[in-house]
Amino acid sequence: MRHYIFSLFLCCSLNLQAQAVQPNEKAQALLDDITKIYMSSMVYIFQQQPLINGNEQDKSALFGDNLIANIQDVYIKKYNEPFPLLDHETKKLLVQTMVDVMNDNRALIQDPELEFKGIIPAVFAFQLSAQLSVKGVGLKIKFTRTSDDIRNVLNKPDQWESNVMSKIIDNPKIYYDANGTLNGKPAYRQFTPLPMAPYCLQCDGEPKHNPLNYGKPKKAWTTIDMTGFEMENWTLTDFGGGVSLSVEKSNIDREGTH
Amino acid sequence: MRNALFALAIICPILASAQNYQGVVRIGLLEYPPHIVFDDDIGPLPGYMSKIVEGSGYQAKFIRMLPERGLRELNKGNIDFLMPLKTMEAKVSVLSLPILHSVPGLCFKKDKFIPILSATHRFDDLIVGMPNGYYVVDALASSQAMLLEVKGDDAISRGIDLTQRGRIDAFYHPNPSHVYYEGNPTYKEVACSSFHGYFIAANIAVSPKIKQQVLHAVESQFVEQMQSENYELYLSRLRRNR
Repeated sequence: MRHYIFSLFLCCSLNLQAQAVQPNEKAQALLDDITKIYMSSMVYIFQQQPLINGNEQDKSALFGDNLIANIQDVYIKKYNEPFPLLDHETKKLLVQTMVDVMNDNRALIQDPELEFKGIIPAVFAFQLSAQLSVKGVGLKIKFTRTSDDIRNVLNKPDQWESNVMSKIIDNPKIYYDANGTLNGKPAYRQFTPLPMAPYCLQCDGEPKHNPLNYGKPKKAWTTIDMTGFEMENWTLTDFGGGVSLSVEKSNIDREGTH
Repeated sequence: MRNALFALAIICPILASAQNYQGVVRIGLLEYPPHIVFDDDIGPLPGYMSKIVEGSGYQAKFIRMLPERGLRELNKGNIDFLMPLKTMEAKVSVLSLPILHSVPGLCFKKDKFIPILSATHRFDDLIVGMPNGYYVVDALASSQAMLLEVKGDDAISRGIDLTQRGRIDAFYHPNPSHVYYEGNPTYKEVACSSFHGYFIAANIAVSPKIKQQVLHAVESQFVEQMQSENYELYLSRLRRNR
């Protein structure tokens, strides 16, 4: 049920498109594909928390081709459409980087002595963004929210993202901008709002949502979540931030070059 | 006669290709898994560099080295380049772009493990060992952790050892994947997490005695290649095609 609600929120958010100067059809399709693949991977990481943190010997579902196949399944269920063709270098690179991120975390994931590995959706998404940032392909993707509420200072919104969020916070819609810049070069930008989902509340909600408090008397509850941060007491009606995507225009035109 | 012709058939192309090079560029390699590995499969970085050197008209010759000797030979001019090197390790000239980046992190004894290092308030009062001469990420430098400098050439292994014995709470490592990997027999009690989003650049060091003609040729080919497909992108492509 929890997953269903989350999926519904995501689907809804992607159906609400709007604003600014629209990119051309090809660029918009690529931006949409990238964002939806990225969000599907976050959902998969959430779904697999028991496997990530558990002591199972076989965690192969989290690595390599299995990982990609499982993210594809999530995508198909969530958006009720086929997984996009990996017909552009940027999409191929995104998918490969997901595999790389999980490989980099392999020692942690396989460590039976650690109960909580810290590989939650936001952390996975951040690692993905960080790895993509050094590949020099003119692609930047990040999960951000309004600057006063940000936990990781490296995820703080830039001016464009702050402006967009102030415009859409009361009426969340996907925001496109065909006149953006990235690394000083012309770029397409897209901001996809992400409504709060029940799973977000485990960390960002009230103490009653904190799994560390389950089964304990109220007076023994902690306000610190499992990642070590103070909980924000947000609810499902709060703004959940969003996925900000920037792709250099030269990248869009460069298909299958590598 | 048949053998002689066969030998000629093999030697001729080798001679022809050797003649196409303007000379040999000697590159010292420091072990840096998974990019440079000192076993049969030497890792992907030498292959990438070889392509650059050949593109500049020279032939690459790789020589495996330990860091101290590598720097000595670089300064003497017995090798032309040494890689990879973090700029703060030694005051040497480097090519204009870093060849790769590592993500620094903290290694803990497992019972004190902190998985998410953006939660810097959890560093309060931690005693964190630091290898001398490394760039410290802002998240750690501005935290309330007590930083303890560990000096010496073997500072990293001593720091990890101190962590494992519980003498310090954590140790700052420029590339924790060198310590924390499956089946490492040396440090079984240690687990590491990374400062994602922070990078330490690793460079290609240049000998002060290199011929300027060689340096210019390699440098310009290096920049061109990095702009076309940098090493990290090349690595992604290699992994995808595996």
